[in-house]
Amino acid sequence: MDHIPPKLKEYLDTARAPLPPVSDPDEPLQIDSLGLIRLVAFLESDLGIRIEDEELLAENFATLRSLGDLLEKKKASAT
Amino acid sequence: MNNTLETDVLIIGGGPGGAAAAMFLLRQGITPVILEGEDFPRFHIGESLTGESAQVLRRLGLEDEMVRREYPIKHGVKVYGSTAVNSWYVKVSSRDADWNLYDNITWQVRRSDFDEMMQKEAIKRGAKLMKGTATKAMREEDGAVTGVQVRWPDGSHGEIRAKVTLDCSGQATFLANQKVTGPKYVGSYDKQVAFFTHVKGAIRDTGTSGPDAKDNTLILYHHKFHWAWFIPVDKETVSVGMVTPRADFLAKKQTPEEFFRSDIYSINPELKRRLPTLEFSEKVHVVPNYSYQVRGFTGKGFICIGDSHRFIDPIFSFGVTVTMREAELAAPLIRSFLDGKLDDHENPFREHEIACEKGIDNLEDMIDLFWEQPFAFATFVHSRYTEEMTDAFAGRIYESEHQPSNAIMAFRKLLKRTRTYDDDIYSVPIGSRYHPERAPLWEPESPVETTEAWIKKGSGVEKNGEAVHAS
Repeated sequence: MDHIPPKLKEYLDTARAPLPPVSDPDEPLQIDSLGLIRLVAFLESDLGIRIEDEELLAENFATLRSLGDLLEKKKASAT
Repeated sequence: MNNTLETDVLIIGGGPGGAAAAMFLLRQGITPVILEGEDFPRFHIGESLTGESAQVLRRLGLEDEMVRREYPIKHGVKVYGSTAVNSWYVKVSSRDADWNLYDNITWQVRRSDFDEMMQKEAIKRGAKLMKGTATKAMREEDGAVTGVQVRWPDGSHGEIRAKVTLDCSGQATFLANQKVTGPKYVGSYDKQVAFFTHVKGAIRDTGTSGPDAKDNTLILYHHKFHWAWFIPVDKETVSVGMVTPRADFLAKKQTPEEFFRSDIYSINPELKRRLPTLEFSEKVHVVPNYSYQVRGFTGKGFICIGDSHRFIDPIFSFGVTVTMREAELAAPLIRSFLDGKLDDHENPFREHEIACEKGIDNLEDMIDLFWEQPFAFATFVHSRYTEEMTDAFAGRIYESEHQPSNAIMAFRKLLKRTRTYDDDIYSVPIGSRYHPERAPLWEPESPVETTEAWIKKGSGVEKNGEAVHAS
């Protein structure tokens, strides 16, 4: 969860609406595939995080935890 | 009836593959014999043509005829997600000589009509049609195919001797069943069954171009390996089909029509909306066992074309494209072979075989990714590889200077798959490399079962099938 920037958390909560904001890191985000495409666009253009082709796996975007893990891994490999 | 006949090229099967092959051969100055057992017109499935199919028809000078017949115009393919809230669209495109992309159209066809038109056109241009059934491949000691034995409609037998035999027998896979080819393997999509019919009164879109054009192909996703198609075939009629896990069908113990009626609405809400009534103008057909791959599908004296060597999955309507393109690619090679220019090789058509295999591998990667990673697939269509995805959807897969494209290479990364084509690895079926459980040999000596035989055998088949896969 540490790797989820506040702006991203805010985005996810809006994208999920009318579902309530995510509280449990293992709760399914329940964003449909077109929503995920928008999420990837948001990560890339607003947060400057490039998502590689091979990272476009639904499981990477399934929960807050899996998304955090992906971002952490990306950060680790970048440094 | 004549007992023995000789020809340069014998084409087994008078469907669109055989007819296209005949027309391309005639352009090379070769007059082929087409052997066909069935009377045309006859029902056939596979009604949506891709962009490349349309280009082949244009090259054959048939565009005016397609327009004259008022076949529904397809501008693209729209895919609905399982809740039908979202959809994505891929337009039909072509490439010019400099590989610049431009929008194009293709057609949806009632296959009974289209296939008959193709066959008649081939005959009009000079091909010789003979009615009869190939019963046995004739071979020399070194394995070279020298023609076939034939049963004529009056029950008598004869032979057609040919320098080259083209297997355009479709899913009957004549030469594979004759063991002329290498082994036939079960494909990755062997657990699904397709049910389809023609429906009147379906609701189409109303546009004249783009995503809402009235006669586009619709693909309606339910969940993995479970989907439906919606393909307008004339002004009143839409071909509707659904692909379901065969275990679902066997468990219900219904007739194909009962099953179709009871399950079609649950596939996708959008399909339910578009089919207010289920008035059929055709019986409900069933096709199981359609996914397979034949190795060694060319050799001395023979080439297998289209479905006669490989079929993956019907999802993106590649059947007619593959068979007509392979026919087009084979024709000049057959000319060279007859001129003695390919004579020294052990298999004069080996390069053709590898080119075809590479082309269809591109399709297999695309289809596998669609099923395995639909989110990545949709992202590629939507933003990352839009142009390359239109190439794939159009069936532009044989252009080795452009394929595999960046999109196909990305599919392979996501599927953790590499494709190499050296002598050893080439003979290993893809299925066995990536999914050992999915690539058993097709039952020895068994032709493709008829639908009736398959249904009659019922759940016993499924149990046996499962046992094979589990071992």
